[in-house]
Amino acid sequence: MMSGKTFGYKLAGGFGVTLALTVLMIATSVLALRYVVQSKDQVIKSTTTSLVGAVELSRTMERRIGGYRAFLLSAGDEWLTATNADRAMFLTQVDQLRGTLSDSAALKLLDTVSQDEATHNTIVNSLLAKRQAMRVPDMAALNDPRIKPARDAMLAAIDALVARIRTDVDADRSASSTRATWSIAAIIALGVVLVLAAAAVAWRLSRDLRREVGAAVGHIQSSSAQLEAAAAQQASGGRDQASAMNEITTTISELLITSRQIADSCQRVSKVAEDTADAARTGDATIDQTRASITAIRTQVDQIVQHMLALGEKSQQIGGVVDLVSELAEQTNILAINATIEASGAGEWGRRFAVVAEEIRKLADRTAGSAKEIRAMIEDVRGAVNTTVMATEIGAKAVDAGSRQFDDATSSFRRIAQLVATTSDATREIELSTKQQTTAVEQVSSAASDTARASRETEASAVQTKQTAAHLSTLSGDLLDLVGSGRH
Amino acid sequence: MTALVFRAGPLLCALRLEEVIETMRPLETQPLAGTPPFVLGISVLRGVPTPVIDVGRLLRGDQGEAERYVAVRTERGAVALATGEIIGIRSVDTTTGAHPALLGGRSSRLVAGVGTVGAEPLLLLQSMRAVPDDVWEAAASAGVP
Repeated sequence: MMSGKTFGYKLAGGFGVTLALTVLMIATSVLALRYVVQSKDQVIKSTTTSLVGAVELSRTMERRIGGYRAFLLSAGDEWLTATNADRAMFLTQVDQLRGTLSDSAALKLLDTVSQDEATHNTIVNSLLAKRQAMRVPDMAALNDPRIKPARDAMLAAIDALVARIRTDVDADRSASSTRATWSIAAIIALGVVLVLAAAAVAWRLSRDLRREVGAAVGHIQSSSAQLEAAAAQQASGGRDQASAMNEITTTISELLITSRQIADSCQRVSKVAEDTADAARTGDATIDQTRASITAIRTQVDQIVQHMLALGEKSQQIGGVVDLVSELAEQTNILAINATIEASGAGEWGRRFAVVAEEIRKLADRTAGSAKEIRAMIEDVRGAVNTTVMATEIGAKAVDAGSRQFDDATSSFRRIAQLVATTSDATREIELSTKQQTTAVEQVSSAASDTARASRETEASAVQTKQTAAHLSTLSGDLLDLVGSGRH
Repeated sequence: MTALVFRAGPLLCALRLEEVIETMRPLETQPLAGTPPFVLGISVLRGVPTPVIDVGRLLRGDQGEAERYVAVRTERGAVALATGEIIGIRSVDTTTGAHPALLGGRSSRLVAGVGTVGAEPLLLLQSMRAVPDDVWEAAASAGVP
């Protein structure tokens, strides 16, 4: 019935059974004791009321007898009053005694006592009346022969009543003692049952304690050993973790320093980027001026080319004129020579003409020489013009290339300015992020320090756990010894 | 003696004015087959076919660029001499029949005398002897006079 229940449940059940039996025994004992007490009370009551009442009847009657005897002798009113009071008390005591009696025989004896007392009282009253009538007591007249048998009968009835009541008291005492004995026997029986039940419960609990608690303690002992090993591993792990956390803390501190350096560097880079952006903005005006200058140079170069081309054309025209002059000079030279030749055969006039022709030939030679020089000069000028035009065109191309390169450089410069602005923003973001990272790293450092401390505490706790597990293993062995299962 | 002085290549040459008809620019010249190398060909001077002699090749054996044609009188008609630059009309002093080493051989028919102009030698040519007969024959066979 108890299988499958916990040992605590079994223990509670066993103690419950024992407690129930104990309560039953206590209740039974209380009932029995109350029964015995009631019996004894009944005995005591009958003894104190009935027996004492009956004895008191005898004593009251003796005092009344003494009283009326004294009145008969002295005729004192105090004696008469006393004897009447005693008789009233006697009657009262009779009534009270009748209320306490339950035995019919005793009640009959009490009725007899009442009847005998009434008879005796009648005789006594007659004697008392006689004495009141006498001034001097007349003993003979007062000696009534009925009084003594009546008094004896009454006293005998009272004695019989006392004896009957004493017999009843003895019977009640005997019955009460018998009931008390039965009660003791019942209590002893219940006690025996209780002891047997407690022994059974104790045996069952002891068996279960050895069987279940022993197994559990065995498990506890093995678990304690495992816990001790685990605690040792945890302590070792805690030491390693604490060491690792110290290294992490050191690394985080270095990282914190690096982060602060990065933040400072970012701040400087941001400052440089802002200065660069200012310089770039200042450079925009210079770029515009330079572009205007390049455009003016390009225009001037174009004009130079146009002028040079015009100069080349003029030179060609001059060359044409010079060629014409040279042609004319050559023709003149030939004509002058021919004229000289013709004149040589014409006598004196011919010689004069020859002189003129010779002069003309010389002029023609000079003209031809000058024309040749002019031609050379023109060729030089044309060559210079061509060279200048080529150089100017090269220069124009160079200006165009320079302009394109300057446009590229300008766009690059503006892109650089934009990138510098972007870089400045990025640097500010990096600076902000680095500061946030620094704060986070500080928090991580604090957390790492806390973790390192927690690791040390864990190590200490693991050592304590190991000691506790060892102590628990020892206690398990002791407990196994206590429960009688022996050490595992 | 007055002569027309001109250059034939590097040489200074001269012709008596009496032999010179006129000077002119080089004209269109048609080469003639079967003529000596110094005969450039035949050209038409004032409507008359005239043989053209390269004086430089005639004197030196090498061909030069003709700058002028000089028309001279010969026994068989006018002849054009292709010359270099015309220096001009000069009074020339030459010694006829000078050094035989300079005037001998075939050239002796062409060079009448040798003089100097400044530091340069001057060859006085005989135009009537400048054109060999086979040239005239070739010119005649070409169909012109």
